[in-house]
Amino acid sequence: MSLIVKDLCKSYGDKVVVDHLSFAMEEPGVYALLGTNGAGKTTSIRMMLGMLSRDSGEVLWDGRPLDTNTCNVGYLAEERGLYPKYELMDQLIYFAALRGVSRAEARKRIKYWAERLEVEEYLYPQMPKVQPEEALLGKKKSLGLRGRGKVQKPKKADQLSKGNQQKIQLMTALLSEPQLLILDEPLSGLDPVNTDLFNSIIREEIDKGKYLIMSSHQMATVEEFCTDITILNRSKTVLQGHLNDIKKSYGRVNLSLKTEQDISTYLETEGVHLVTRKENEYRLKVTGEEQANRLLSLLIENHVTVITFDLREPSLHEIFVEKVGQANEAE
Amino acid sequence: MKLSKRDFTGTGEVFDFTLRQYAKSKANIISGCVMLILVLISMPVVALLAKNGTISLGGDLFTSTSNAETVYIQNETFLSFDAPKGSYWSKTDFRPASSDAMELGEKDALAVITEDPDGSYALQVGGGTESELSAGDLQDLSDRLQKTVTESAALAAGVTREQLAMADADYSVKSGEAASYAAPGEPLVDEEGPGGRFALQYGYAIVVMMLCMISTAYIIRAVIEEKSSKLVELLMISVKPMALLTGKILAVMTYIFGLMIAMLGAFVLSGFAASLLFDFSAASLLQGQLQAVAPQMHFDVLEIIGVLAIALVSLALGYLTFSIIGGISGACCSGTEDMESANGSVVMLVMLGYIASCFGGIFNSTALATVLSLFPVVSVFCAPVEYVTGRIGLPVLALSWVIQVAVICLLMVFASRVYADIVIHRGSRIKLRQLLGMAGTKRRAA
Repeated sequence: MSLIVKDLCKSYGDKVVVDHLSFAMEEPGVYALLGTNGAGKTTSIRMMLGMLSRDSGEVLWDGRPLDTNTCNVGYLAEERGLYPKYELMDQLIYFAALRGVSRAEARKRIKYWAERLEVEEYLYPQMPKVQPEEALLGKKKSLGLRGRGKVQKPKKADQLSKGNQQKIQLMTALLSEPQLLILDEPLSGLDPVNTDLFNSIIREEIDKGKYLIMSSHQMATVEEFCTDITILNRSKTVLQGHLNDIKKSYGRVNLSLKTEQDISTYLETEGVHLVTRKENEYRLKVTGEEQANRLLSLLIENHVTVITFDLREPSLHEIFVEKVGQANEAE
Repeated sequence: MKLSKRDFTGTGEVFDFTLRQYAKSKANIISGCVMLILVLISMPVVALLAKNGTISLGGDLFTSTSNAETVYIQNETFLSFDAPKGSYWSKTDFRPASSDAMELGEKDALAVITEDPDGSYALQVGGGTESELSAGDLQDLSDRLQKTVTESAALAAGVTREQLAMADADYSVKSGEAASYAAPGEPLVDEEGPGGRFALQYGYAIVVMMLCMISTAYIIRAVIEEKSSKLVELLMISVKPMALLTGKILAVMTYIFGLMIAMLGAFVLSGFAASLLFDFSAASLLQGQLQAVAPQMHFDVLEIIGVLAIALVSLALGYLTFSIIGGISGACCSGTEDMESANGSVVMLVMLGYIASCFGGIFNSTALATVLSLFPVVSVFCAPVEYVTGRIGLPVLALSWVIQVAVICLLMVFASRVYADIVIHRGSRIKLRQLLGMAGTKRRAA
């Protein structure tokens, strides 16, 4: 199976919002669609899914136009939404039914994902918690209506925190066990614990051999999961390709250095560009591995104690900022 | 852009979910129960009030017989008359009052009829000091004796019974061009006159107006809530926008029509309860009321079913028309703050149809009736009444339905062109001109 996006274009009047976007996923994995705010990522996703009409271009899944009939798609939209006043279980069963999942099967899957995402208490009626001392003493407080413990009703969407709503929305995307999963800003607004939970689920889906398209501003996450990327800026593609190849093309130019004394004079001698400094911790930009090695030799010759020497490729964040900056300057 | 079967895939799921949520809504349950209770108690309350004499409904509405054992009639006139007719008084003994002072029992009544020097008559009816007779019984007795005295006076004046029957008979009235006068024996087209027709038109138009306004308000609210809850994208991954709209429209239609049928059932139960509790005939009351607005109709079971079926078809067509417009209007809104203006547009259109139909009821013109019955949007308010009152025939009624169905199809095609774009649109409310522009662009693209 493969996903091919060919020459997608969209304009509103004179304003071009997506300008000839093309990319392909020949095998399962994660493809990152990156870009500044308003670059055209969400519009591209909407066009791919057929929600928005496109001016030109096509999207093929396994050689056929991508459609909910040709491909089982799961989608976590950037604009999260649930019916605020309806019970969550009803909503989940409804979304599953819309994807052709039977009620019984939906209930099974909801149970699995509710456990996995730790949201069971919001979906199923809960028995009141008995205080340990009451249990030990055999006290019973059910004297009259006020003292009686009530079964806690399942929650409605507007009774959940934003993070928990996001978990329910991720469930809606996963309930149909999709072949293609599109996650638009999946981690925005999540606390570190839930970010880890989401990351583990994304990893699971990758392991299952799913095709994932991810749009995110969290470069560390993208770097962790994605194999290929497209960076959009103001509707245009400014960088595209295999992430490792892109990084390799930049070379190892980022040097993190920690020493026991001030090395400013040696940096000047070697002509190394200082990015940031915090006491004796330096972040440097070198021209390549040769300059980095020369600097290291110089420090050793002068009996400078080196605690950390880390030479690496630029991060995706740095590449992104550089590419978008260049594109903006060119305009 | 053509509509295909695939555009409606998922309609069943949307319908099922929407209907379940409406049925589960506490507000809907409470309002539905209140309405049903009111309908259920309506007939027993009417019967109770009629029995107590608080209201007067006329006719033989009580199937039981009076509690009165004896009614003494003290006739101080030269008139001679029979006991009042009707099954209700069949077990009561009517006898002349003796000239001696009488002691009335608990179930006895005394009627005194006197003649004044100016030739007018006076009638007094009452029970004894310990009387158990109800005020309703005494009122009914008084009404019947009054009629009997009037008839007797006419007979005494030389009027024959045949002449009396003729004077009391129904007659038909028609006003209009001399050329359109009916030949002797031929039924008059305009039998019930403009007043009766207007009352019927007015009443029916109010029902259509209420149904359309309430149901479109439901649709508009559902569409705006879905849009403002940012759910549309999530839904559109699974269903086409037209299925989303159609499912909602059908669910609200089922809910509203279900409620109407439940009310009808409750009304039947209410009549049944009234007959059990008070021997009251609700059917006779209904028949009498209907006869008053459309005297040429017989209102037997078949005729009532036929009229109900015609009204239901027209109501359904009207509902579909306005709910599609409501759905489009709701989708044009940016959020719940625009709900009133979206509602306002549809209300204006409904009011247009309502007012036009009321005008049609006032003017006594068959041509105007035909035009209004065929004119889309207005026809749902007019056509059934014009047919029932005989101003249009079945072919015109059928043609008006065909035209309305065509309008619904055109609205669906229009919705299919714009709905997906407007429902996903963010920003200020979409104006009509923009909407038409969008439809035009889609048409050219197609």
